[in-house]
Formats: sequence, C-alpha cells, structure tokens
Amino acid sequence: MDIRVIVKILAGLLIILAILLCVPALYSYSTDGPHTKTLLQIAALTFVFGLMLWTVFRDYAQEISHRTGFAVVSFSWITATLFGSLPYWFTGTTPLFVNALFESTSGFSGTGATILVDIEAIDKSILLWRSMTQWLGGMGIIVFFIAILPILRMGGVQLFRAETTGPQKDKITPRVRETAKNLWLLYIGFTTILAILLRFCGMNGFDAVNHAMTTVATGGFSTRNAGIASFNSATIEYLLCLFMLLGSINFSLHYRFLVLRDKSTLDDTELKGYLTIIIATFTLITFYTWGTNFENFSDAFRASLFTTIAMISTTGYTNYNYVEWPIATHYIIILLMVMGGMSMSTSGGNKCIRLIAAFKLLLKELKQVVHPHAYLTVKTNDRSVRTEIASAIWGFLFMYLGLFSVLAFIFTTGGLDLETAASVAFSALSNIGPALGTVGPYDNYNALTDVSKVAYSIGMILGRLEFFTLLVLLTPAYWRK
Amino acid sequence: MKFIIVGAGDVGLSLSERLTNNQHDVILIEKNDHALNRIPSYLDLQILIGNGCSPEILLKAGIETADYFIAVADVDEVNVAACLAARMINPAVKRVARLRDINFDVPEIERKLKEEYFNLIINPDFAGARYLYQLFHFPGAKDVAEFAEGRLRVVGININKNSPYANALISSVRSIQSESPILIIAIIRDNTIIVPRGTDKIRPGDVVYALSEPHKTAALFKLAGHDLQEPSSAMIWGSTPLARFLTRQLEQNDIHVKLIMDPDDIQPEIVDEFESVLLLKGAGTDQNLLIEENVAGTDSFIAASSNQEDNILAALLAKQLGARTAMAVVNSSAYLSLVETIGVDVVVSTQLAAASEIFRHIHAGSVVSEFSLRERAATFMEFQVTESFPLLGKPIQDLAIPTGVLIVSIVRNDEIIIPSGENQIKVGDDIIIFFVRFAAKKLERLLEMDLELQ
Repeated sequence: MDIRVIVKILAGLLIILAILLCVPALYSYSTDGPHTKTLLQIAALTFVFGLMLWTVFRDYAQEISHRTGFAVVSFSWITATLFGSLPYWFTGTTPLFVNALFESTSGFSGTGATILVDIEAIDKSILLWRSMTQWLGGMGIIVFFIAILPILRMGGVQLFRAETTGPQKDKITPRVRETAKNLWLLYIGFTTILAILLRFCGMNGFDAVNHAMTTVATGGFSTRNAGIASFNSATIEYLLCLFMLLGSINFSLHYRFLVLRDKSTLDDTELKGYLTIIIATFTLITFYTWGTNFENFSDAFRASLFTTIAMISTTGYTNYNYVEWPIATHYIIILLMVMGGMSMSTSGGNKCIRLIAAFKLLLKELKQVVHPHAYLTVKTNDRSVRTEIASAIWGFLFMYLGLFSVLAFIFTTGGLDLETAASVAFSALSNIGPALGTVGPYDNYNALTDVSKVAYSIGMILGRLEFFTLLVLLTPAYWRK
Repeated sequence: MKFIIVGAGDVGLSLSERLTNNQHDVILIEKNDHALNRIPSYLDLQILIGNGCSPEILLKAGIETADYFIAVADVDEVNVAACLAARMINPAVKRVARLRDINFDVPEIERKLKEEYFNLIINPDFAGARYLYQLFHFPGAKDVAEFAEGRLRVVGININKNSPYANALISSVRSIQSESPILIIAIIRDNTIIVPRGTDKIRPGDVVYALSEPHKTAALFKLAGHDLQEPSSAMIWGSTPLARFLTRQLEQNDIHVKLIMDPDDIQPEIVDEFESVLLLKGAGTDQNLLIEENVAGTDSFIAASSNQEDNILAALLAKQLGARTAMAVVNSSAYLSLVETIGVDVVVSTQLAAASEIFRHIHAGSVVSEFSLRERAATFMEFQVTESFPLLGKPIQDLAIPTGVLIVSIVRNDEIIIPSGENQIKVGDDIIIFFVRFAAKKLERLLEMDLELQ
C-alpha cells in the first residue's frame, strides 16, 4: 500500500471541498451575513492545503488496490468531517471544537443529531453548509468524487464498494464512473423535485432547499428549532414521507425502474419486505396512539406514518414527541432504528435485506435439524445467497451488536440512564439522530460529556461506512506488507 | 440417405444402430478416442475422429452430399457450433441438434434460430422427463402415450386378480364396459405380444394395452383392479438433466419433491432452478437416507441417475422400503424387459425417444407421432391422411390389411371413430395404426412408404 496514492486523492478531495465551501460563503455575501469573510478564509485555507498536496503528489499515478481502497475511503471521510467542522468552529457557532466535530460528523454521516440548542438563532449560511454536508454524505462523498473527478478513474470500483452500503453492491452500468454519475443524477433529480414541491406547499425558498437536501439524504437536519412541526402542514408531512421513503430505497432499483423501465423491479425481495415492515409497524403504532395520544384517527395515522418512515429511513426528523407515546411504541421505534432502510440507499442501519436474509437463515437452520442430509439455501430474488455473503451478514450483525455494547457502555459511564444510553447507541450506529429518554426528538446532544460526544461521532462514521471499511484499518494484518 | 452424426454417446449410438439397420449411410464423428471402444463392432458405419465443429472434418465426412446432419455431442454449445458450420458449407443439409440446457429466452430469437439454423431441436432428456411425468400421474400404469393432440390415450396396465377383466373373454369385455369404449389392443403375457381375438381370455398378470379417451383412464384402472389416486409426492434421485427437468415439471404442478443429488453435483445454478424442492445430499442406493426421508410415505420413487445399474438397485430398494411405485431410468435395452420381472414398476429408456423424434421428422407430413412398446416389438403410429395416402376411398373391410396390423382409431374433426368394416378413410383424418414387428414390412408395402421400421 502506498500512502502517496491516498494523499493525492485526499488533495483532490480538499480542492472540491474548498469549492463547495464557497457556496455558503456566496450565500452569506448575497444576504449580507456576518460570516462571509470567515467562510471565504476557510475555503481558501482548504484550497491552499489541497493544492500544496496536489502539486507534490500530482504525478503519482497508481491503481488503487483492494486494500488501499479502504484507507482512501476512511481517510476521505475523516478529512471531510475535520475540514467540514471548521465553519462551525471558526465562526464561533460552536466555540468548542468537539461540538463542531460532532455537528460536522452528524452532517456527513447523514445522522442529524445536533448539539445546537437554538437553531433559528444561527446564521443561515452556516445552516446551509450544515444541510449541504448531509446531502453530500447521503449519496457518498466518494461516489460524488468518482462521478466528477478523473483521477479516480482507476480503482474507482474498490472505492465504490468500500463506501456504498448493503451486503451486495450492484453496479448499474458497466463502468463505475457511469454508475456514480447516474446515482448522483437520480439523487439530484429527487432533491430538485422535492425542493420545488416544498416551495409550492408554502415553505420559503431557503427552507425548501435545505429540507429537500436533508430529506432525500435521509439525514434529518432542520432549519427550525421545532423541526417539521414548525410548518404544521399535513401536505408537507406526507410529501416528506414520500421522499424519505424514496431516499431509503435502493438507488439501483430506482435506476432500473425509472431509467430502464423494468417492471420486475417491483418484485425485489428487499423492497417487498421493506414496504411490508413499514405498513405493519405504522399500523401498530397507529392503534397504540389512537385514543391515547391523539383524539381522532387521522391525527394518529399521520403521526404514526411520519414517525415510522422518519425512523426506519434513519432520517430522524423531529415532528412528534414520541417519548410521550406508550412504552410499546418505544420498543417498536428501537426495532425500526436497528433495521434501517434498504441497501444502496442513503439510509443507515443494518439494512432490511440483512435482517430478511438472517431471518431466512435461521429458518433454514431449523429445517436442517429435521432433514440432516438436506442441502438448504436461502434465496433472495430467486437466487441462493452464497455462503460467503451469508457469513458476512452474520459478521455484520454481530459487529453491530458488539459496537452497540461498547457505545452504550460509554454512554452509561457518561451518566445517561439505561434506556437513553441504549437508544443513543442505536441512534449513532444507525445514523438516525434523535433517540429516546432524555434525548428525544425535542432534545439535543449538547448535554453529553465530551467523551460521549466523541464516541457518538465515531459511532456515526462507523455506521455510515458499515464498520468494516474503517475497522479493517485497525487490524495489524492490513498494514503488513 | 446419408447421415452425419456428431457424438458417439448413448443417443448417437442408438441412432446409428437404427439408421444402419435401415440401410442408410452413417458417418459418426467422435472427438474422443476412448469413446470408440463403446461403438459395437457389428455396426456398419464409418467413424471419424475429430471435432464435429471443424469444417475440415465435416468436409472429410462428405457434408456436401449429406442429407442429414445430427449433432448429439454432450455439450450443447458444440452442437450449436457444429450445426452452424454444417450450414455454412452445405445450406441444404437438414440439421438436427440436441440441446439440453440452452434456453433461448427471447421468443423471436428462438423462432428465428429454429427456422433458419436448425431444422429440428431435440431434447431426449426433456422428452424422457415428460414421459415420466405422464407416468407419474398414473401410478400402476406401465406405459402411457397420447395421440391426436391428447384426445386419445394408450395405457398399458397390469391386470390384478380382483379385476372384473380377469379371466374374461375379450368378446365379453364390451359388455363389462360402460357406454364409451375402452379398446383392448394388445396383451403382453410371458414377455410375448398377443393381439387378442374375441375368443381370447384375459388372465390375471397380463399387461393390457388399451386405447380410450383420456377421461376413461380412471375407469380402465378400476377395471384392471387398480385404484387410481392422484399422487402428491415424489422422491427423485439423480443430477442428470432428465432428473432436473422432471423435478422442475413436478414442482411447477405443486407436487412435493425430494431430490437426491450427489454432493459433488450440487452447484448454485442448479439449486436456483428450484423453488420448493427439498434437495438432499447422498445417493438413492443409501438405505438409511431413504428411510430417514420417509420413502415409505412417498407416492413415487424415480431413480434417474447416470448409472443405470444403480438406478435399478435404488428402485428395487425403494419399492421394498414401501414406496407406492418405483421407476428406474435404464438405457441398455437388455435390462428393459428383465427389470420389470424383478419388481420395479416401470423402466424407462430415454434413447428411443430421441430416435423416434428424428424419424418422425424424416417422415414429416405423414407420421405425426409414434409410440413403441417392448423394445419396438409393437408400435402405435399416428398418420395424417393426405391426398396421396393409398388407402383412400374404400371401406376398411375391402382393404387388404395384413395380419398384425390394426387401424385402431380415426380422428375426424371433433369425432373419434372406432372403425368397423364399413368405415372409410378420408383426406384430413388422423388415423392411428397399431402393428407388431413381423407385420412392419407388409405395412410399409401397403402404405407405399419406407417407414424405417427395422
């Protein structure tokens, strides 16, 4: 493995990041905001830093190996979150660096947890940057760079695999660059349509653009203290439901259905399972909350649907204070948090297909006891799941469980009660944002200890990169020549 | 006629044998030296060693003057390539290819291929599977064949002691039967074929071949002393294409199937062919496996592995362990008549199916279908009557029908006629003729056509 290859790609990343940082700066300039100068300085700093590295390593071209891919992706994410935290820190929005880092990580990983106490008091240019980080991270920084940067032509496949989520990663076109481009075009298309629709539904332009970005990215940052509740509009809620759902559906299925017009897409095992689970859980929650928290059925329906989709898609928009709902709904919400959306979507969590496959694998084990000589396989989309994939799925689930235990322990030592600590750990690993207990949808993470904030940040990045990309760097075998 | 056959496998050899017996020129192309030992020395044919796809070999075989080019090598792709090469050199040669696994999913492409590149695509394994599938539905039957697009059915069935047919005179059978007739065409007793007359008696233990409309089959079973129950489960052994075709066909018809396969043969792409089939690792000759997987509760055990001796053993074993019926796939004709006497219910040979399909193609236009029993000791043949058909215009009693030949049925539009002496054959009819082997030459003379019946 060659460090120079990694540094060269990081240099390219910094240059792009600098250009993106100009967007909030320009917005600030056009609205006479107070942070124009600071934002431009950060952009310049990032640019110069990137350019320096680029000049040194420019001529260095080498194919990115399978191994190097993990390092490239991991360090790209670390670099992006570090530089992405500067606008919060340098403008004094969050005087503590650990808070800036938390907010930046929560942005890029598409989590949506915040330490900001009064969001509406913060300058809009910073809020724009906050939403932009979620939008970039949602589809993936690396996928974005593969789509636009020619230097990643070689070895882009490794990076694509290391960053996108799910047990099996399909390229939708023969070349990875085309795949990345198509994914981003779909993503941009969804975001644009949602922004226009939200504007028509009565949001102002700024809110519409910000919420469009954080919805399709299934991130969950809002520009309002009260989140979506501040708009108090059923139309907006249902619209956001639809687009959170679209964001949490496999984007290669979107491509097959919308671009290739392949009707068989609707038969996809994961899609059918995902929609079934959504319908089942929101029906349950509706009946738990109807009559207890909501007088009439339509309110219960609306609140349950929104909360179910917001949690399962791992968006985590705050709208209804479900902490006040019956305790059984809390449990259902935790299950939704653990599962998350579909593979190759913008959502986090274990992904629906892993749980479907794991469930089928368990049934298979039961059947094997009855027929010891049988050769049994588990099928998704009419094809047997290969043994390697099956064991990778078990590995993933246990890794999730293991990291959950460690994080929850750290949070309890930070003084959180059991329910809060556990749900916060799930919230971090599944990139949700809000949790239960003392950090419900109307609370924030400002009160956490610094150690807990760092742990939460690490948990978010681990969850977004599906653990292995990052953790493999910690194994001695990875660095051995 | 001159035939070039690629591939000296089971199908290639049995075809060669039948063709050379009928005085055709046969050139057999085989890639593998070792396979030559399997070619019986009495076959009067020319053997070429080489690749059936190579134009050089094809020219050496005389493809320019050949009438038929038959590609029956083990690999589908070889058969396709060989037919394409043959077509390039001599577009007039008729091309027959055996394709087992290649599936031309796109219907337009399939049609185009069949029209332009192949004259006939045969799949003996699929035909064998279809035959077994038919038999599966009639547990107890020895043979089942359908004619006139499924409007008539021939069933061969064993007469039990408690059958109303037992010890009845053939002439009295009509009175036992109800309104619609079940015609008893032939009886097999002590391994010989009897074409019964009115004064003959049916004895318990006889295998009776009867022709009737399909809805009469249940009545026939009852008359033979069997109870026709719709089977719902099957256990199949083998990883051959035949076993897999059969499994899929049964599965698609909601039959509960357990498929036993050698662990080495289990590949992901094979597993994915099936949906609800329970795949078992092992061998059909493993008694413990059969007991554990409850062969006694299985309606039908079908041994279809590539080893015919093992198939016979497995079928016997399953029968002994309590399977309701047991079938074995056997290729060597020597075993065919032997095995049924030792207790296996049905033995099936797949090679005959391929040959009869090809012969049907040679006589395209006249012979619609054929079905032989007992190693072609007797045959049912369905003819399409055209203007040039020789038996037109006279009542049947005035035709000099030789002994051993029966016109058993005339299908005219919607009507099925069991001919008596007065009936006449008309253009557009489908007629079904039954004949025993010794009468074949006379039948050929009567019909003024060469039916290659040797």
